[in-house]
Amino acid sequence: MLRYIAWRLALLIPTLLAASVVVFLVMRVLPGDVSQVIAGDVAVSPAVREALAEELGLNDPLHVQYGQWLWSMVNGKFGGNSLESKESIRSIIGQQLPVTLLLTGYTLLLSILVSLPLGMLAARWSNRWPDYITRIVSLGGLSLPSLLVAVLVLLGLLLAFRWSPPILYASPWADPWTHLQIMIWPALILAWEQSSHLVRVTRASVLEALDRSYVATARSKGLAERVVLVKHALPNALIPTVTMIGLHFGVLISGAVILENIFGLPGIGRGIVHAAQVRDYPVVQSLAVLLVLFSLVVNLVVDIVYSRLDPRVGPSS
Amino acid sequence: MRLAALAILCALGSLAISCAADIVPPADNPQSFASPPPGFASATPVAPNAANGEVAAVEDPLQHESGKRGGTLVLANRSDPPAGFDTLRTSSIALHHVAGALFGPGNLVMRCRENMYLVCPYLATSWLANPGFTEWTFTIRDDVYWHDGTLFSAEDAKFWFDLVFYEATVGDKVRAPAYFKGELGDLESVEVIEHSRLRLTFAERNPFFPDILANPRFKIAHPRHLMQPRIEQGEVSISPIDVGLVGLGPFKLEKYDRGSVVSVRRFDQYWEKNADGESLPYLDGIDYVVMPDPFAMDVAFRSGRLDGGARGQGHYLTTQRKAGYLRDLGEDVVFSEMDGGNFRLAFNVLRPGPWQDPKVRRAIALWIDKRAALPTALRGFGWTSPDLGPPTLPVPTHFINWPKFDAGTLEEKRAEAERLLKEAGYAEGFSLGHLCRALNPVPCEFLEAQLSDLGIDLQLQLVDEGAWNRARTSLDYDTQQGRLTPSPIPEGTESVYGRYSENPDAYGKHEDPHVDELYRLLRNALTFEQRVKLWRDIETYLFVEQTYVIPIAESVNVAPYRSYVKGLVIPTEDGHTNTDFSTVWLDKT
Repeated sequence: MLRYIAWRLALLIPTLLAASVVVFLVMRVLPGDVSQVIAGDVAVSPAVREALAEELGLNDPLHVQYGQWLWSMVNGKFGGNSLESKESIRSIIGQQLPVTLLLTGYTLLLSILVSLPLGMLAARWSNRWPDYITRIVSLGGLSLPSLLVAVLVLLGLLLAFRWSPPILYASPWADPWTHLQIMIWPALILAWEQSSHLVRVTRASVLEALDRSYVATARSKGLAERVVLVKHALPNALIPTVTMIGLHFGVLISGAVILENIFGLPGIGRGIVHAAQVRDYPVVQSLAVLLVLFSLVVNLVVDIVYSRLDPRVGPSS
Repeated sequence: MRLAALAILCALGSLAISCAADIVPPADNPQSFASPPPGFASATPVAPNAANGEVAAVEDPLQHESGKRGGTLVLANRSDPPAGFDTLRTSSIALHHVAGALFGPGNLVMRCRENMYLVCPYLATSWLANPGFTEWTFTIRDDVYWHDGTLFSAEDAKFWFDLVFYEATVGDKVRAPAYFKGELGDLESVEVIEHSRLRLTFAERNPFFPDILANPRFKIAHPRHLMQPRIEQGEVSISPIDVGLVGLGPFKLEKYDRGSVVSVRRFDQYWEKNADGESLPYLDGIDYVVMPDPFAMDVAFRSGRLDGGARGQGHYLTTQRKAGYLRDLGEDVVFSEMDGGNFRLAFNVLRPGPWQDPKVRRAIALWIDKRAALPTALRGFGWTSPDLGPPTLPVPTHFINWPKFDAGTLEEKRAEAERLLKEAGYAEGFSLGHLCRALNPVPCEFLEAQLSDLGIDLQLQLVDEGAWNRARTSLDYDTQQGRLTPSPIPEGTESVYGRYSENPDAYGKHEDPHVDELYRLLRNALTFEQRVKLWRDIETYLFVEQTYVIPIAESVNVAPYRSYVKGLVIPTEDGHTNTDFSTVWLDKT
C-alpha cells in the first residue's frame, strides 16, 4: 500500500506541472495586465506604464517568467509575491487556505452525516413517504444554484429577523461563536447541494445491494433487518458514494468560490477570483496549482478508501 | 523678491490659486487665504441633489460645535486596498477610501473641506510662485508627525517628490515613477531650502500646480526614514505596506487582515484641530470591512452591522437598493450624494468608418434621448435636461457644468439628426462597434437601443476590467464611454480630451491640432474670465463642432450612512475627496 501511495504521489508532479503550464498560458492569453489594472481608472502615460511593467518583471520572456515562478514554488516561497498587493503568496495562502479548508471540511462532514442515513432510509422505505420526502428535498438541492439559495437565505434572515451573519471572519479558535454564525450558512447551503447528489447515489446503491444474494443469505440466517442493512448492504453500497465524493470535490470548490464572496469569507475562492480579475499572475498560478493539488489529494484519499472498502480494487489490481 | 512674487500672485487672485502669506491653519480661518475668485462659489459650497436638481448646502464641519469623542465607525470597503497601499501606484477607491484616514486628506495642500474647488494648506503652511510660475516654494509645517513619532520634514517631502518624478535605480533594478507624474508638470528640480522650505522648479509655466497637487489621490504614504535605506539596499519596489503603513493621517494602523478588515485607530499626535482648538479626530477608530459584493454590503447595512457604505462604482446605490434601505431603516439612514461623472459616448475618429464624418457624430448626439438615460443607464440617479448640468444651479461652482448645447425638443433634434445623417450619405444607417465594460453593461444596452432607431447597429464588445484597461488606450475600437474622473480644473482635462498621440487615455481618439492650440491658450490665460471663455470654446469645439465626445448625462453617486454618523464632509464630486473622516463623530448612546 505504501508503494502505491508513493507512486500516486509521484504522479502528482507531472500533473501539477501540466496544470501550471495551462494556467500560466491561459493567464497570458487574456488581454490586459496587472500594471494596467493597478493604476485604476485614470490616465497613465505609456512611459510610466512601461516602467511599471519592467519593475514588475512583466517584460521578461514568458519562459523566464514561468521559470522564475516555478523556482519560487520549489524553493519555499510558493510563488513569490503578489504583483498587486506585494504580499508574499505564502502569507496569502496561510491566511486564505484555513478558511476554505474549514468551509469544505464542514460541508463534506455535514453532507456525509446527512446523506448516508437518509440514503439508507430512502432505500429501506423505498417508494414510501420517507423516500418521497428525501427525493423531493434532494431534488431542490440538485436544481437550485447555490448563488440563488445564498441570496434567499440572506434576504430571509434580514426580512424575518433583521439579522445577518457577522461581517468579520473569526477563526474557530479565536471566537467560536462568531465563527459558527458566519460559517454555518454557507456550509449548510453547500452541504444541501452536495448531499443531494450523495443521498441519491446512496439510495440507489443500497437498493441494488438489498437485491443481492448475500443479503438474502443474511436475512435467511435470521439477522435483524438493521444489521443486514448496516453490516452487509451498506459497505458494498458505499463504493459508488465514496467515488461520488471524490468526483464532486471540484463542484464543491466552485460552490465555495461563490459563497465565499457572498458571505464575506476571506478564503482561497474569493482570493483567486480577485487575482484573476486584476491579472495577478503568480497568485492565480499558485492558488490554481494548490486547488489542483487539493483535488488530487482528495481523489487519492478516495482511492485508498475505495481499496479498503473493496479489496478487489486497489494497489494489487 | 519673494514679496514681489507674492504680490503678483495675489494680484492674479482671479486665477484659481490660493496663496498664504503666513501660517494660517485651515481649521481656524480658511477664508483668510482662500477667498474664492470671481465667478466661483462663495463661502457656501453646494452639492447637487439627484432627485430634483436642487442644490443643498454643505455644512462646514470645522465650524460645528465639538463632536462627541469616541466610538468606532464601521464602513464597508470595496476590496482589499491594492498595490501594497501605494498611492504612487493606484487611484483605486478601494485604497483611497482607507488611505484618507491613514495618510491624510491631502498633500502639501488639499481640497478645502468647505469647498473642494478651493485649495487649502495641509502639510505646508504657505506657498509662493515666482512671476513666471515656473518655481513654487512651500513652507512645511513643523508639527506633523509620522505614526511612529518621527517629525515630518521638508526632506521627507522632497523624498516623496523624488519617488513621484524619478526612476530610482539601484544596480539593474529600477523603480517606476508615479502613475500621475505627467499631471504635475515637467519638474526640473526639487530642493530643500532653509530647512523647512521646499522649492520645485518646472521646465514650463505651471500656474495651477497647487490646484493639481490638491488632488486627494496624491497622498504622501512614503516615510523617508523607513523606505530610503531599504531602497538603497536594492528593495526598489518597496511599498507602504512593507514599512507597516506608517502614515501622517489622523488614524494609524491597528491591524490589517487581508480579505477581512483594515482597522485604524486615533493617532494622538495628529496636528489638525477643530474651530474650538480641540484636536481631531473625534473617533477612536474606523474598521473598513472588505466587502466586494454590493448585495452583502446592503444586507449588512440594513441589519445594523455597518455604519456606512463603501465608495466605488457597483457599491454606490441604485434607486431600487435605496428603496430597500428606506423601507428597513426609515429615518435611521442618510444618503450622501456626489456628482459621479459624465455618461458619454466617445468616438475613435482615427479608425476608418462613417463616424469620421462630424455630421454623423453630431447626428448621433442629437438623436440620443438624454433624459431616458436617467432611469436606465444611470439607475435613477443623475440629472440632465436639454442641456447638461443641474437646471437650478445657482452659481457656477466649477468648470464641469456645461452650458446648454442641445436645447430644443427631442422631436426637433431627431429631425435634424436624420437630416444630417442623410446629408452625410448614411440614411440607411451603419454598424458601429462599442467597447463596453462587462462590469456595467446597462449603459451600453441603453445606447444600443437608442441608436437602433436611427438605423445604427451598435455592436457591443463586452470586456472585463483587465481587457478594458488595455483596450481603452488603444485604437482597437470604434466608440467607448471612458470612465475616468477628469480633474475639476479645466487645464487638467487635456489628458481625456487632448490628442491621442499625447494622451492615449483620451476618451475620443483624434489628432486634431486645434485642440492643442485651445489648451495652450487656456494654460496661458491670465484672468478667470479668460479661462472660463476658453473652456467654453474648448467644450463647444469638442462636443458640438467636432463632437468627438457626446456628453449624455451626469451621474450621481449615492452612499448610505447611519443617521447617527455626524460631521461627514461629502465632496460635491469625486469620492476620493475627504476620506480622512477626522471630523466625523457618532451621535449615539
